[in-house]
Amino acid sequence: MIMEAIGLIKSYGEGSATVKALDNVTLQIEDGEFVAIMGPSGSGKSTLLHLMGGLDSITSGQVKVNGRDITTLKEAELARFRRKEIGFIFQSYNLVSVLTAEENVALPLLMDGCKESVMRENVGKAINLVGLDGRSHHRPSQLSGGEQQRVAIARAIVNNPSIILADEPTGNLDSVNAEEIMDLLSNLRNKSGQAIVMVTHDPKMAAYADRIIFLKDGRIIDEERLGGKIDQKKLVSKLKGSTN
Amino acid sequence: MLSINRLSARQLLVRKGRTILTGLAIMLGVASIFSLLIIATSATMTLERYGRANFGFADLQVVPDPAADPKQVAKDVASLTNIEGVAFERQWMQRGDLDGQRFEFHIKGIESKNAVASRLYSLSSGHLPKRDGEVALSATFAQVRGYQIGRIFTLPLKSGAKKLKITGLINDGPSINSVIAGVYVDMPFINKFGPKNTAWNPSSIQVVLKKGESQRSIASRIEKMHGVALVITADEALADIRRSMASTRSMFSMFGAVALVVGMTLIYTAFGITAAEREREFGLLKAIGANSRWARRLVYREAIILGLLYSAIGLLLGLCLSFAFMWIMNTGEPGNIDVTALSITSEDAIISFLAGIGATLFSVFLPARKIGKIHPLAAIRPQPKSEQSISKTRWAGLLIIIAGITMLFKFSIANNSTNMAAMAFAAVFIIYLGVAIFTPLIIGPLFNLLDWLSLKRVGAAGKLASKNLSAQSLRSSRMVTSILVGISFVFLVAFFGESAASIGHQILKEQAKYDLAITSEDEGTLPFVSKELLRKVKGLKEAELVTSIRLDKVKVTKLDVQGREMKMDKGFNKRLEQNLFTPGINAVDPKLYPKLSSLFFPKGVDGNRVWRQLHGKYVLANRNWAQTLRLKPGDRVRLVGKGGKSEEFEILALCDTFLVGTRHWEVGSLFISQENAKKYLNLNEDSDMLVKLKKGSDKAVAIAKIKQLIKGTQLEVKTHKQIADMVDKLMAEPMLFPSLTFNIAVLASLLGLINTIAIGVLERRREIGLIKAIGGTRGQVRLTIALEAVLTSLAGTIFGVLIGTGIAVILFKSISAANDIKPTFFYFPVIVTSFPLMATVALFVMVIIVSIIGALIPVRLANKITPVEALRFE
Ligand SMILES: Nc1ncnc2c1ncn2[C@@H]1O[C@H](COP(=O)(O)OP(=O)(O)OP(=O)(O)O)[C@@H](O)[C@H]1O
Ligand SMILES: [Mg+2]
Repeated sequence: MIMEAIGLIKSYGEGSATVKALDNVTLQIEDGEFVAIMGPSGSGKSTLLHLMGGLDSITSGQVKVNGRDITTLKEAELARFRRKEIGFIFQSYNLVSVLTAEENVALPLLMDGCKESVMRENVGKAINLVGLDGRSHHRPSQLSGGEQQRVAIARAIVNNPSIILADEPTGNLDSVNAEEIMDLLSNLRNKSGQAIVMVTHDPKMAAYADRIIFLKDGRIIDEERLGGKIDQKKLVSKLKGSTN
Repeated sequence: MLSINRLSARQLLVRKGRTILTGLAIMLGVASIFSLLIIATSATMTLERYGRANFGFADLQVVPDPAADPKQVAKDVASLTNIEGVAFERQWMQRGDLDGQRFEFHIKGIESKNAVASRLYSLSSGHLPKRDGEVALSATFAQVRGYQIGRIFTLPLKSGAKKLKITGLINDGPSINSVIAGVYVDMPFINKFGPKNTAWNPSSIQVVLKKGESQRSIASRIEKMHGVALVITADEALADIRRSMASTRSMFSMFGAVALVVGMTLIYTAFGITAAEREREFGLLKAIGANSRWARRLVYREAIILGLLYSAIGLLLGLCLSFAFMWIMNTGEPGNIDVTALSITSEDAIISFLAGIGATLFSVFLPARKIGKIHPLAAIRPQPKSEQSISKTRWAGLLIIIAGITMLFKFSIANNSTNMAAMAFAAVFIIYLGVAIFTPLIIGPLFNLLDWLSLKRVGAAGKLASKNLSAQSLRSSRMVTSILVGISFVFLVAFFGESAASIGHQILKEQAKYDLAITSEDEGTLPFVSKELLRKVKGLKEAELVTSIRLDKVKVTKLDVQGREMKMDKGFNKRLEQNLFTPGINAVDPKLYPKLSSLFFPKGVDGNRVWRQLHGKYVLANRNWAQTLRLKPGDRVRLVGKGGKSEEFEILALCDTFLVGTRHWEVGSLFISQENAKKYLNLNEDSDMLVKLKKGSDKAVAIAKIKQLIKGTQLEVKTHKQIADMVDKLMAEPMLFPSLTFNIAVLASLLGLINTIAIGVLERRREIGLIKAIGGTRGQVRLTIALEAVLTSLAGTIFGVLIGTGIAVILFKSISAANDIKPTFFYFPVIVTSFPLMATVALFVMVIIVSIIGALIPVRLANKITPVEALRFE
């Protein structure tokens, strides 16, 4: 087991205006597992991902990564944790616009104080893995959406994290590009054995996962294990059920 | 591949607009400090060189008592054992025209036969004048005019031009604005043509000591001798010059420091405003693993690069500015210090450079802290704007303001003018700090009110503009503060200048009863006005009233201050003391004088009564002079007139004045009735006349007639207006440096305003894109932004003017208070506060224009961006 969330609660605001974005969520992610999280808008998917990635404070509960409780970490340790253990991929790519593709990929290594040669090697590998060899000197503004997301993926994996968290990574892409990205992610998982937790609205994308977790109103309402076979119908009906 | 330096450099390179605007702030700060320092240093060095050269190569200068016989004093001094030799010098100042240009000739009579004299002047070529009809000229003057040895120089004396053969050129220091000409003649020339009365003609005895003798100990011995008024050693003279320049320097450093504060505010605002936009940038870095320290490091790295680069450019700009100012000074009105050579010292450059970098780092300190605290999710979703709520702790700003004001009231307690300037600066700085902290508390509600008002009246652009201003109240007030600091600084200097200029006007207005003044600018031979001339002018059929003024010097030997005899402060500088104890005295006719001119009495003094009483054994004392000596009405002074005749007088009242002539305006230290002057002090020779013409008489004819009458004398006839202009010029002189500073301040604050507004717009490209995306036209965008800019800068200007006025009034109050005890700090006769109305109107007009420019340049750029581009998630 690579990651574990126990009784996670996240609430926003105070008093009567309190919104419980997550309400007692408990889940486990196994080594190398690919988990999809689905649920209606506002159900707390992003919030869950942010808490697992140490991006936001937890109201109560625990997140353990490799057995270590991240809720007790101090700011600087948490930053280190994000840098070392987590690779984040966002729906809107979130690249640094002034840097080239390869420089964007190099950022986490730079923050790590990596040696120039190591940096060069790792960045080259990551860029190669996402298939962007010819485009490493381009700026984000010169890249297509799919390419930008590949850069984001390369940046997420360059530090060789134990887990990749992706929030609707294909949300901004057309279906062809989306499938390419999904292929890329599942290949990565197969090659380097990283666990992936991905939020998605799209059953087609969710079908790449080993397991789907359904969220509603901040609670896990269902779980589906996919034995490599895609049962679209069942999935869609599950989704409908969760939406109702 | 990628390094933190490269990352910061890339940020700076790609965000060009932001970089340039932030850099501009640094540049302006550094440039103003550097140019002010250069000018201050150059002026100091020039004066120092001039003073040293002017003092000559003697070890001591002995100034004889006006009542004593200088020749006898010279003889006595020469008889001392430790002295190598003694030479006598007489100086005489006279103005005259050469090819239509007015020069001030400093004619020096030297003893050419005296062996010591030849060692006192540094000849660059030729030899000293040996006989009557020969002349040596100052080398710089000769160079400017193209004179050469062997040629004839025509000295335009009032009594007729004198042709003199040039025998030598003398290095007597840098020229003062190239209108002062050193003319060295043999003593008989002065005896023949120069003034007979020594009171206006400083004679000095130049003393050369034997090797190894201590200047001061011998000077002290000479001071005790009979008939010696003052002994100045070469070392003391130099120290004197340095000391007198110290307050000028400290004034410059004070202005420089304020300029730095303005620059710092600009830099801080630039970083502060961009921080909002950068929240996303840094949020992203944090999300992918940057910690606060790393984020801060990135900010500091950028600041250092910016600071280094733009401070260097600022130095260059400062250099250009000082060259420009030097040019302005040299083409301006004559009479000022001519900084012909700029002294560019590495010290000043290093100070300015470090100040720039220091200010930059200081300015990013808070923004960096804020950036360090940015939430990692800032990149992913807009954060609740906690910083938009205005903290109540800002009320503490009010306390800081009060502390600053208290300090400003008390700054005169410092023991010298350098410390006074430093304290005044510190006080002003503290006030600004308080203002910066406090203003959001006012600006927020102000813009809310504006929003509420405008919602009902104006179109879409107006609504949007006022909404933006009120919704982003912290950003708005930050911009307002930044503008406010610059404007109030400009206004402070403007206020200062206006008030100083109005002093002359105000006093002249009091004196505006005569039509013509018959006077002389020169130190000449008394009497200028003979009894016969006075009778003839009185006899003119155009003249209604004519009065004469008798201006001479007396010696004060005793002061009874509130019943006890007064002792002088040890700290007073010797020259000042000398001036104080040999004041100028004006003998006037108490009946006629007030009808033609008048004096400026303090509030509550009945002028008519004063004039009636002046027939008694009373004198009127110049306020400044009296305050320097701590004299009050009712105190008594013993005056020594011609031939040692002396008498005690009571001070009837204090007054302020501008004298008719321009000889020295501090000469009007005492006023006395003409009868008393004659009876008790043996002063009976008139120097000036005032004429009031009959109604309907032809002024031009009267002038022509008077010109005929005064032909061949040193007198000139001047209209009231000419005198007024002269006074204006006189007032403008000490204001030249402040007015240069004013120019720097205007430049810095207007550029700063453009800068602030432009940064504000630049950082809102996305917002502008959004307005366009939902159907706003280019025109609407332009109008909205322009409105916002104008409203922001107007708010800044209004508050700036208010705060500037407040500081100026307090500053003047405490300067007035300081003048009671330290008259050397500012030597204005009356401290009147006068609101610079024209400058204020001009300021508002300029601010509106400049803020529109500041807003429209970036809007133009932003307007070029398509809505999609602007909204694209970077
Ligand atoms: N900063 C915040 N303050 C207050 N409420 C918040 C905040 N962030 C999220 N929420 C609330 O928490 C709940 C969960 O939000 P979250 O972003 O996790 O939903 P989501 O499942 O990712 O939705 P979507 O599919 O639309 O992205 C929502 O009701 C949202 O309104
Ligand atoms: Mg979401």
